[in-house]
Amino acid sequence: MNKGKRVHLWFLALLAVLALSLARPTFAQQPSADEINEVAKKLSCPTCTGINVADCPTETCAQWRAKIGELLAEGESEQEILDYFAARYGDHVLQVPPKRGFFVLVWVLPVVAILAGLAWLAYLMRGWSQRSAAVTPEQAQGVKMTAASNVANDTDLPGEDEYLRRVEQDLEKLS
Amino acid sequence: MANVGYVALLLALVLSLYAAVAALVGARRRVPELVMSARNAALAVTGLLTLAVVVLEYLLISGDFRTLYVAEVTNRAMPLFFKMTALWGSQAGSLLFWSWLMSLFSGAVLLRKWGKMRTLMPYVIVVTQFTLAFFVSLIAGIWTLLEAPLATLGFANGAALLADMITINPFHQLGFTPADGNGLNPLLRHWGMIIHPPMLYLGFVSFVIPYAFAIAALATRQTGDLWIRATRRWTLIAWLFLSLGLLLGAWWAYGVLGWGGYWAWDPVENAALMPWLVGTAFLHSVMIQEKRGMFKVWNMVLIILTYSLVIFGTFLTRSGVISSVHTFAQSGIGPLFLGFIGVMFIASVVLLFERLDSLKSENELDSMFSREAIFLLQNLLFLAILFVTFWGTIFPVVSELVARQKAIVGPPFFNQVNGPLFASLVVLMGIAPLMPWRRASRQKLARMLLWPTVVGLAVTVVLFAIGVRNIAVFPGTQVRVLPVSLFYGIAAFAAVITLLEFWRGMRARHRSTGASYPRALWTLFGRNRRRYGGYLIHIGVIMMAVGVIGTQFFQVETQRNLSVGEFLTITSPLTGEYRLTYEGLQSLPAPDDVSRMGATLAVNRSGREIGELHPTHDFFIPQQQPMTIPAMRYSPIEDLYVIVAGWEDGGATATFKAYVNPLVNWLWIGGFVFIIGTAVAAWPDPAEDRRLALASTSGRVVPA
Repeated sequence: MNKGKRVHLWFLALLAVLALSLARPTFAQQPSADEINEVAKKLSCPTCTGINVADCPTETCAQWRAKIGELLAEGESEQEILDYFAARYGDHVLQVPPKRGFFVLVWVLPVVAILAGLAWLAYLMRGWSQRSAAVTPEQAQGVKMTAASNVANDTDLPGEDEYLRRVEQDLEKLS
Repeated sequence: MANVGYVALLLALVLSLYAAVAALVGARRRVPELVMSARNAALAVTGLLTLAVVVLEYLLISGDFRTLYVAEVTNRAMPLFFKMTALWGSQAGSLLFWSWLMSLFSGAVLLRKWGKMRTLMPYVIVVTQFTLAFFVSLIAGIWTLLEAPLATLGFANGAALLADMITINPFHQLGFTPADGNGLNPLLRHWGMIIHPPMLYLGFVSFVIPYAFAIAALATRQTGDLWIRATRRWTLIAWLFLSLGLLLGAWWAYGVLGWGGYWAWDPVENAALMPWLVGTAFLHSVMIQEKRGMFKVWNMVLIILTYSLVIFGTFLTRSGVISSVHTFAQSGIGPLFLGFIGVMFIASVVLLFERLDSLKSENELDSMFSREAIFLLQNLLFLAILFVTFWGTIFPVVSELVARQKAIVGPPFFNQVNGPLFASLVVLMGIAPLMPWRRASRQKLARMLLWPTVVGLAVTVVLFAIGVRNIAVFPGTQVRVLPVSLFYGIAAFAAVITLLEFWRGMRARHRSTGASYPRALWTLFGRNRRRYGGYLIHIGVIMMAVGVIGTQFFQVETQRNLSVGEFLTITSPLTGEYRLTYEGLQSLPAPDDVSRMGATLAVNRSGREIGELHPTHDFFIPQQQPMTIPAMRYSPIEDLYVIVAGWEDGGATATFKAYVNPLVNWLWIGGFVFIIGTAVAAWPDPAEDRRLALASTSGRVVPA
């Protein structure tokens, strides 16, 4: 056996190992109820509303669970099983719409909205802090005093203002 | 007898419309007699709706099956209590119940606040009575009058929809008398479900009051903080009831529905959550207006949104239409509701725009490091959660209308997107108490944040080290980004700050007055109910967060089919291995229309016998509806939760589903603390009332 051939064999062996490791996990016997439920949870009951196939007591869902069991025993992956049901019964049997076409909006729109909100907030705050930097200290002293007692009643213990502390003390004496 | 109820409804409709119009004209033309007449009409509406409710109760209790509603929701076998609560058992009755509660609240406002806020009152009457008129018009079947005109104009579909609405009238009479009624939906025969709708409705209708005052403030240009102060307690009470409704709903779902969880993000739950989210944002942001005279427009937007969502929520909870466009198109009630929400929303926004000049901010934001800025960020997060929830709820309909593709948006979406948003809120909730109004000294802030941050990080690291290694995924992907132990770190961070706030307050009082610590704590609550009630609410939220994280990330479940004598095992992440041995199934005594089977399971934890569990399976014969009632072992650490999913050969074998729900009870305990905190914050404060009286007589409200 020359050296080149040995390398060749090693390479084949490596390929075999790789192929084995990539192969689907197959169930020696019938998959357990827990393994079935794991997949069934990601499907919605086709006849009722707001319940997944794992939790649903109806006959249809019992049949679907049995089918999931068959497919698992045949070695299908979770995604393949979900695709199987979606192709037969429509995308609305999935708990979350597949990420393609119009359905992408489910995820994208909230993100866009949150980013827009943050941008707007940043814009507002920048405007405010720039303007307030231009305000003189006397103007900045204009704390709103609709009712002094009210402020005293809600002073911030941590960031307490000396002035507010005095107001509170005065009120304490009065009451 | 039913006719008496129906006539009362018709009169209530006429009078509520009259009250709305008379109050508007009276206020604009300054005719006090007309406003007075509107007030009396509004009070008469309360009386008439009370009469209608009494009549319907009489029909329900006496079993008058000739009345369609009575036949739909009761039967002879039902106990008296359920017959009475069947008032809100289905659409027609609950719309009447809603209207009645609304009329009670508006009546209470008219009686209590009349002298104090005379200038605002006419517009409060306009808003509350117009809202009432809409609801009463639905149940009085008035819209069916449009059927013939629509049909002659060629809108056959519209006409057919309206014709169907005759059955929404709770007093609708059948042409014959059935021998017995259908009986109440079995799922609803649980006391959690009996109190849950009234709580939710009380929350809904009481949010109408602050909205009415807001609109009145806009209309009369009294856009200071008077309307906010006047309605602060209404808002808190609305919020209290809504929170209680949400909690009871979750608790009922957990204890009755038998799927191991408490919140499924279904449209009806979301319908109640959405006004709560905006209401919470509103409760916080009005504080900025009170203290700093800022965000006046924003607060108006929030309360307008809350009102719109309250009406939307009432509509959703009563019809559940969002699952499909088809159910929506089956009744005229959907288009009418959306039309009403649209009219009210647009009218409110137009009014808001016209009054923008009187809503100028009295101050500006001084710093990003201030409580104002934190509150603004908090508002943004609440609205983000609202948006996510709203979008996920309506997406099936949007998808079907726009893309002609059916879709379902299930819990994974909401959990993944809202989860991190809620976690961010807990962080803000921790920091906010440390932030002073206007501007924080960064050094001071850093010093105060140091120890809570250290504790939070320590909790994160220690939990990770002892084996809490779950990693949460980035929303919408499989990419693992955040260790779950960080969420507990966040909870610890917020808890430390909030508890320190109590400690600082206690110590300050102890030092200044010499009172003992418990006494100091007590007086702390007495002296500033809003602040310390608020902190108590925050503590409740943190406890609830602990429970939510526990069930979200550490729930374990298993299912097995067992013969008598066989066992299943389920391993708790916290306490060890449970072994459940099936000992048999037997028929149990139950009401006449129910067939009840109970299983017996011996429970063994880590080798020790710790008792038995008896999950039951109820079959409601008239409705042909099964219900699996879980059996539970409660503890502060975890619940063991078992249901019997089915059986064969009279119980020789049976299928069980078992769950371990770690820390779930902290959700209920936290909920309890939350409610207590809200009650503390809403408790009448004589000093606050005096200030309010002072404010309203100091020239800002024109005394009549």
